[in-house]
Amino acid sequence: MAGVLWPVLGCAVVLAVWWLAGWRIAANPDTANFAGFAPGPTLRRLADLVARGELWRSAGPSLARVGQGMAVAVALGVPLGVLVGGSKAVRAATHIPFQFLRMVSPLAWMPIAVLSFASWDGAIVFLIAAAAVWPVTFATANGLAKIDPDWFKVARNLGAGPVQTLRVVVLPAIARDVLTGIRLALGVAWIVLVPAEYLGVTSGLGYAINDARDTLEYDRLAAMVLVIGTLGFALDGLCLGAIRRFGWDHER
Amino acid sequence: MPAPLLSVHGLGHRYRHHAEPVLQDVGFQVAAGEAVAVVGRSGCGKSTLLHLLAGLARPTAGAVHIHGEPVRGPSARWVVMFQQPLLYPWMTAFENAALGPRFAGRLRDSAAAVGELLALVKMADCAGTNVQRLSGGQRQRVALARSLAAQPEILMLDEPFSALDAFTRRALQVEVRAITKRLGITLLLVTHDIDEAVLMADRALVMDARPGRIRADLAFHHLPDERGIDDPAVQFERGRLLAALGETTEPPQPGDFHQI
Repeated sequence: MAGVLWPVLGCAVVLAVWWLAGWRIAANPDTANFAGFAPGPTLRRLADLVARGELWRSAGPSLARVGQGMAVAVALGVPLGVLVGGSKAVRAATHIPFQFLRMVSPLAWMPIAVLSFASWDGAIVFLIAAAAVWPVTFATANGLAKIDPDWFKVARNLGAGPVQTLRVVVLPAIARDVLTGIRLALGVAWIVLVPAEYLGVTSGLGYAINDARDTLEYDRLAAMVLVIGTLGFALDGLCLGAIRRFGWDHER
Repeated sequence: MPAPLLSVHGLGHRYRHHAEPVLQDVGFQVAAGEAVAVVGRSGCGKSTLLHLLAGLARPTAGAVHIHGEPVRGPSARWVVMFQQPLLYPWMTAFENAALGPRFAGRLRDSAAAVGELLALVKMADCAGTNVQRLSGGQRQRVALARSLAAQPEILMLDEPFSALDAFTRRALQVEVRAITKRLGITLLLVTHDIDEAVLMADRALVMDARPGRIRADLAFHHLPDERGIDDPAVQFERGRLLAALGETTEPPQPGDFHQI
């Protein structure tokens, strides 16, 4: 019972603050134009967006871009992380460049991405991948460095080759760390997505927010914010589920 | 005399180039089917010796030959069982025990044999259990099944029972000797536990420390295959071993044990 109570209470407080703020905005003649931000209009508009299918038309392209960006980030980040975590030389050589690149906001690449890619979509996927690759790389490297050296000794001792050791020992051993890195990366990717979609594209959640601002539909804008938060929360939940499923040190 | 299964010549080891040698001029031979204990105090280099024999480390002097061929690296033909079970925690008992056959690409043909080995070490009921749920003794039993499933000619034990409680330790000492004798596996055991040596081995190599070298080579002629620690003959050999280690002043004389 208490397990449900506190989350419900927390959400109720947020809703109450939101409602109160909406009421104050509507009550003030100077800000009455923004009354659409209040919970009532927002939720009505959200129901309307769902009913007319507009929600999926906005969320679909966004999810596809994040999916592609994450796929690139994992495809690059996991092998890179294995190299960094597995070799002292690679770690030493890449430490400064990687820490430097990691600290550059992905949005700082925006002009370069726009110049480099033929399509707006390509540029957005690049920005997402540039943001997501670092958490995956560092988590993988960290997982590899944590592996008990004796586990390699056992594998060698039982006649395992390098490929078998990678498949049977390394990958299961680091699965949890990799998934944790993917979870972090997905959070970053989802945050980068919206400003990236302010770029030339005419679809996606970021575009929808910008569009709603330009057409002064503040209820639609707030509804999209709600959708972004909810979808992000759901994606994080999926990652958490995968970590529970594939992380072996929960068995203890 | 038949050619020895394992022979060691002039073996020496240093961890760094100018460091004091951990091992110096170690030489001995082991015949197929023999059970040999290397006994010495902690830090005498006996664990290093086992790593060199198994090819898990390279010696800085001398060589190890198995079947007349120099040991250049680890192989499933000689398997080490370590002080810790070192099972992979994401696997079941069966999956851990089956690793040797899996690496050799014959898991399909060996599944039944792995099951039998788990039964032999009394772990058949736990085959499908994640090893994190097993006790220390159960884990070491699975590690034993894993070592045997690789079908080694030589089983090398590096103080494998020292982390277990006395009761489990004694049971496993007796069982491992019986199993390896039955399967015709040569046993090489490194230990600081004198009881373990007299219970499990046909012969003991006593090691000095700093530098590690073989001080005495003691055959246990008087011991039966099945033995208990309270047998007078076992107690007699125990006394000889203690004397060789320098723990007592008077070595027992042949015939002493008849008077006990």
